Amino acid sequence: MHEVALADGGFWLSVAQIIAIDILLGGDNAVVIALACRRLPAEQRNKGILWGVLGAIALRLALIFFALQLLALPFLKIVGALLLFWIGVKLMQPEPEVSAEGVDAPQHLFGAIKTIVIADAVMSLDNVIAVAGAANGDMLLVTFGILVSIPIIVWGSKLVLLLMDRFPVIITLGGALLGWIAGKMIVTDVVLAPLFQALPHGLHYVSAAAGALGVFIVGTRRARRTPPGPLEQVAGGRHPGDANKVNTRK
Amino acid sequence: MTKVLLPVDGSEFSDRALDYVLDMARGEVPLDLHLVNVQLAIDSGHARMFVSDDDIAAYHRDEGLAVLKPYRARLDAAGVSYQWHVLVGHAAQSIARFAKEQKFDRVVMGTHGRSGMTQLLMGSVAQNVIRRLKIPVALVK
Repeated sequence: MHEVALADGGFWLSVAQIIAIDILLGGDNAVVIALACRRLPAEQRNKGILWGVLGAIALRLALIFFALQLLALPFLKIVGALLLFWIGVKLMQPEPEVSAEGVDAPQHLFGAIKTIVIADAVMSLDNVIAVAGAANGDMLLVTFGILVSIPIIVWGSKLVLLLMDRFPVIITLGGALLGWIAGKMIVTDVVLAPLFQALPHGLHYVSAAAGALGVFIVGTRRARRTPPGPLEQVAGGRHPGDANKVNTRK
Repeated sequence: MTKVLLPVDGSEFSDRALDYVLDMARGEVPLDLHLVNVQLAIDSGHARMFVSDDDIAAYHRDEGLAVLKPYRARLDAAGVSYQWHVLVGHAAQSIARFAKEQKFDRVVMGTHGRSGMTQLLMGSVAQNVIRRLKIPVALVK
């Protein structure tokens, strides 16, 4: 199948898209793993991180397998495309809306691994839908996408945060990319594909461009509505004499 | 009294900025020195869904304190009094906001001094801070 894709250069474009997706959507996995293992005793911490990472990889493989099967069913590419559109809009929001009030980092190895695996399942879903969309059924590309995401899960967190801090435009481009993939995916749905067959060939590009533009517009609008929060200071003090500590934890 | 903000990131460039501030501290004008490190915010809804705000704050605090440690040791050894802060957010934006809100007189920060293409690719927190502030910003190379 990919011989055809190779010929028109679309293969390498898909490779580039998949790497971009892995970077954009994979960075937070490592952060969650590190955070979930923070309260473990030192000798268990590495064990927790190792099992958490292995769990993340296994889950991702299982999820992509199901995703590929599911996307072949009628209407599910439409659902996938809409999900992807939403993931793109969400990526562009400066402050997360959810917060886990009162969920404390587990102090036991099993608890930490459980947190990591559940978090991984949710986080991998974004990545898997996007990779499946960009690969468009090509198993070689899917495998490549999963392999590239693994080092990012393991080592990538700080690098991804740094990259996004220096170049906020990456996030906007990433959101638009997800919209582009969503737009392309929707016209290949089993139900819709025959309808579009009759229309001119370049139509999937029009749909893709509409998806990218849609994410860009909705994403920027929503982001603008969020007012900037107060400057967040997590610790502070005076030397000599550490008298007035600010906001430090007991 | 000159109120000086010294943002540090653990790089050798920040070390040299501290050298410069230690020189300033030996001068005639007394300094009200503030050492600050900005931890990059985890702007991921996912991380926030599974980890409490307290734990994320504690994580940032530990990471920030680890960065500040060598600078604090050097200031303590030199007998210079100072305040220290760990902030969370976008690096340049947080430094500039802190400088404005706390009415600093000047900012001293290290810069890698790259130019041209590297500058374009790597970006520069220092350049970004200068653009956001009206007070003098000393860049130490």
